[in-house]
Amino acid sequence: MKNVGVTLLATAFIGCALALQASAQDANLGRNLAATCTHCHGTDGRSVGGTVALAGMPKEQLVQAMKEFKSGARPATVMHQLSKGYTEQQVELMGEYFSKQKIH
Amino acid sequence: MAHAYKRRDFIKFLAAGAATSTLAACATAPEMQKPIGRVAVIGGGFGGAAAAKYIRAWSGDRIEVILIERSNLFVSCPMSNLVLGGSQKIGDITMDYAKLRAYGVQVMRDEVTAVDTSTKRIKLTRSEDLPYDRLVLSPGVDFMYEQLPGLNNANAQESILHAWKAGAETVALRKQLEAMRDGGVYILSIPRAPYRCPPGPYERACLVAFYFAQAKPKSKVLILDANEDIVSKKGLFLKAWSERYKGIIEYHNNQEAKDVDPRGMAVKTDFDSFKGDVLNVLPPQKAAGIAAKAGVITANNRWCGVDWLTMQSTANPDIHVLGDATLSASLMPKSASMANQHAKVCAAGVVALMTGEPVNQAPMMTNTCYSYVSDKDAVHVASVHAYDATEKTLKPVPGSGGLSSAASELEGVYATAWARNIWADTLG
Repeated sequence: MKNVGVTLLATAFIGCALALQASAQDANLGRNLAATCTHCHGTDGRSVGGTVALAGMPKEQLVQAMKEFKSGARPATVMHQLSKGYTEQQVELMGEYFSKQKIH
Repeated sequence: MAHAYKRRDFIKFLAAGAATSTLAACATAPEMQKPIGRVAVIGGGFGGAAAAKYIRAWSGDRIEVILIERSNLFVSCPMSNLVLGGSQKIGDITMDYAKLRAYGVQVMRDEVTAVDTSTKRIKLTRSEDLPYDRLVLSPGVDFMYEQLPGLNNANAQESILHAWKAGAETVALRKQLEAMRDGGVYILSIPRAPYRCPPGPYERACLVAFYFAQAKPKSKVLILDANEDIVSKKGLFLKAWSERYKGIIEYHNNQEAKDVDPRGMAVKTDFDSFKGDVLNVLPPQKAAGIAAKAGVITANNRWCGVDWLTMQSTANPDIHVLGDATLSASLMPKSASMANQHAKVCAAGVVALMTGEPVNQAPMMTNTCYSYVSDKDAVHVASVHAYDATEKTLKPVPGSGGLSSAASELEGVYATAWARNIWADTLG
């Protein structure tokens, strides 16, 4: 019984390490892309005012907004220019990251 | 909630074989670990302070971070021209480092005198030597007074100001402008690019002119630009000058200051001498002195070359260099936005190198740079930069970025929002 416990414990930690390794690259890509927005939109999208808060925004909403900025359908002062710098895949990754951030 | 588990319960929980047990193990793992190393950050400006914060956050507090800054206050260069124009006070753009401590950043008020890169130790004025595993240098710029002989002494520098590092000089220059007679001439001398904040001098001309138009309308702003043309936002500034400040602002290109005469109150160029009542001379700039002491100056005896994947110095992989001190990539301005973006690429790189995670091979950076043309109206230039693996540098993404179509009050509101958010992103 004792041995089973230790084995399970070891398995859990290996599982943890593998999970971290597998997700590290993708998780950090979204985080790193999102960080290019946050000097205007606040750390992790928690705007301190005057710009749209991206933290906790549903991914689809951010992706849709960026599409409309790119096409010109949504009026903008600067976002029509910045949105054109990112691929759809990159926008999806940053949207994923922001959607998981706490609002406060 | 993970914190509430006792170790015995924790093991019991794992033994129960719950599939979610890996999550609990991941959540509690960092608490069991000692710091995996120490990063020293020299310079608490937009680059260094943000790097310190983000290394703590992105390492899950596993990396010890010590931020060394000589001042106990952070005075923002962006927005400081509004202090000269009179619509903001110095207190509005002054902050401290208290909130960084909540991230576990250890803030040391001290002055670095030397860096021993072979033993990886920093020598300080007040404290004992500080050993580090990795060093982040965000030193800002120094002025090359040797290129302006008349200004190359402390006395002259007390009366002929740059105010290109916000703080005491910003306040002193504002006082000089207030004391100037109506009908006086304010001379703004701009060095050859690259220098800190490319549109900054032209914004300053607007805001000094804004003040003159209200308080002393017979006065003039005389711009002596060492460059062949207006370096940034040319059309937008020319429009502001001709429509808002007609008869106040006078612009001369190709007029590089070669010397300054503090007694005669004159700026001397190759063939001319310009007399003024207030001289505001921006000397040529280079990476601040500590960069040379650390041996990371690689270009023209002035700037620090970096590997853009991690911001590691091309001269020393133990040292990361950020902000205005770097040899800028193509079309990358020396701006607060860029320093903030350097800080994040650096933080990701430092954490990856110290934990053995893969280094991001596709870093991106965005620049959003606002300039006020009056107390309320602003314009911007924006760009998005992506890493080019072939050329090993960041390049603007084709089709992205651009300028304001016209100055507006809405952009003035966004400029203030940008400032508030980048201050918060930098200082916690």
